Amino acid sequence: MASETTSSPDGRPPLPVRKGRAGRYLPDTVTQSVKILVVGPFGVGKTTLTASVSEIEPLRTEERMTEASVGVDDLRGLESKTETTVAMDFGRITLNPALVLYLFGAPGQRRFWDLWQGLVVGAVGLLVLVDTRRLEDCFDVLDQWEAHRLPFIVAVNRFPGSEDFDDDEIREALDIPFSTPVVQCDATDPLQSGEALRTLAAHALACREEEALK
Amino acid sequence: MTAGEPGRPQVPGYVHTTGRTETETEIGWSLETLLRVTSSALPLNGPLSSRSHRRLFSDCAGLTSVVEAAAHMRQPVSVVRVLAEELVASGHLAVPTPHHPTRAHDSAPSRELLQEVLDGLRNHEFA
Repeated sequence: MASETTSSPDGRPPLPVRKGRAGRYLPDTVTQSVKILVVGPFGVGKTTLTASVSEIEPLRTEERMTEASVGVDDLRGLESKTETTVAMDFGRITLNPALVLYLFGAPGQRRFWDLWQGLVVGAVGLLVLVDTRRLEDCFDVLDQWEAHRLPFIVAVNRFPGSEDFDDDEIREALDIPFSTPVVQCDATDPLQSGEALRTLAAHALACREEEALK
Repeated sequence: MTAGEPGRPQVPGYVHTTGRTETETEIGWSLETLLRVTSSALPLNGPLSSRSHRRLFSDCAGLTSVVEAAAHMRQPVSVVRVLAEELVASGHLAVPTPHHPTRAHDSAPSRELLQEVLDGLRNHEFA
């Protein structure tokens, strides 16, 4: 299931190898599916992270939404409506012969989530992807997701030119509990992205065990 | 709704409770819900013979999920889910029975399932 890489003896970085090594269909032995939601503002790297760990080329699903135009005065009293297509990219990882994990790069804005029925329901947790150059773009995302009370971690996608902040500075700026894991992650790197997923899964398990003790 | 050949895989109970016009979020149906054909020899008749039904049925030649079938069909998940519900009700498709039941009131993954996810991620070779 792991991608092939071409290692070179002189220490150069390996060449990227095209995805698509997993088949279109899941192994017949799979009986259960779970999901992790990768959330964050537009352009933060949700699809990049999904693509770096997915065993298939990320796929795209679209839903149409109709909304009333805001701030439009219509003297005839007719409501002006526009139709928008909202896209969500996703990938998958077959974790063992019986279990598959889906990764959904969910849109940042709350009003889009309800387009996909059951998007949030039953998720392992949320991987909140942030860009420290525009941290405020994530405030809205966090406001909304915290209301769902799903376990989440913060992954700081390191963009070239972004300054270093330590984990506590990130927690303070985002006003999230001290117990929330924060990881640094280059979303283009499968190893770092995979480690972020492991951190989230471990956190979700810890949250569940803590809940059971209450 | 429950009529079918002997030996046909059992459809989980929650599937039966999902009416096709239901718009509420139903526990058990989600984007990642798995789908498999029960028997590719079953004919698609009457209201199940539409192009969309036939396309979904043939897209489920192997084990897949609602969201993957939707992406390949270039149809919204909401549309494909309704088709899938109808084909599950008619016995053409089945939803595999999960080996870890999820919590009834909020569909949260069980502790055992979370452990299995973590183990799977730890053993997975990312690169």
